Amino acid sequence: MWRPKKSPAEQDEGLVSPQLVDRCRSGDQAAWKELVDLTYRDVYSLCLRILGDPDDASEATQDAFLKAWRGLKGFRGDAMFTTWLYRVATNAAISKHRSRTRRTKHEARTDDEMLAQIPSAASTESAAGARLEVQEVEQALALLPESYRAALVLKDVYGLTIEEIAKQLDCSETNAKVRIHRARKKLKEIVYGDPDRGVRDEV
Amino acid sequence: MRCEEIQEMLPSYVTSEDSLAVRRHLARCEPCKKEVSRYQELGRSLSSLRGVHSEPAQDLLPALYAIADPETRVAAVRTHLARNKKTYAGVAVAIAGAAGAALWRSRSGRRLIPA
Repeated sequence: MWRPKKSPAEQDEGLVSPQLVDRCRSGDQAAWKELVDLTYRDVYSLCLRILGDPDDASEATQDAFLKAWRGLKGFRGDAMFTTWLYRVATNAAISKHRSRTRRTKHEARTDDEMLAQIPSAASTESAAGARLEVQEVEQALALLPESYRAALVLKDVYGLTIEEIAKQLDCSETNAKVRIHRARKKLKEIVYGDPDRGVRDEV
Repeated sequence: MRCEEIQEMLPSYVTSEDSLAVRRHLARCEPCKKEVSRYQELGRSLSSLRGVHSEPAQDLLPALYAIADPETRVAAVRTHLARNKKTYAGVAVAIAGAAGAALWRSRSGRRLIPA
């Protein structure tokens, strides 16, 4: 049985020391630079996976660090800094997602059109048995409807609990579970083909 | 249970394994077992993405450093405001509209009072 990996905070334990956070809090610019260097790729990648667009992800990352800087004074040292930063970053990405009015080309399409765009199952099935390429999964993720993608990324990539995801996405826990269920199903269809469409080459 | 019904349950089952009916079905159904292995493979790939980082555009990092610099923070905040100006403008219009409506109501109210 596959289980999601440890939460980001557990994995990054020790990455950002409490001393570094203290120095940042006192306005130490060199410390802030160090903290940004340690965390910006993670924060940007999280935003990119939620938003699926590099420009939006850059803006969300800036918003997240601006909020983190302003919130440092109120940051309680008893919480893991990276956990807190991820929460701030997820909020920034989700509010960017809510506020943007334009839709990306993938979301403007219907699901059927979207699935028609993906390579035939045969090309992915040819690699059956081989480990899925990271890029392949990232591309498939980008094709998911946004509300599904955010829930799936938070659960299966970053290991958040259903309760945390429901809070972040401002939905019920049942709704969060449904989104994750549908997202996994759709992702599986994108990568391996949809059996209902007769593209699956083996049963 | 039929394979279709089982397969509808698999996306959640792969991480919960909470259904005896599914477990029994999988023990004797190769196609459904194959589906489970696909979900498991996807799950492993997704969790491995956690350690994979995308590199942002070059101008992001200086903008992030600037946040802690009192001289440039103003510029960073200005950029933030400019980017979100549609939202802020919308809020301002809404506030102005509400204030206007309140004023109009209070004035109409006054007219009803006999001189």
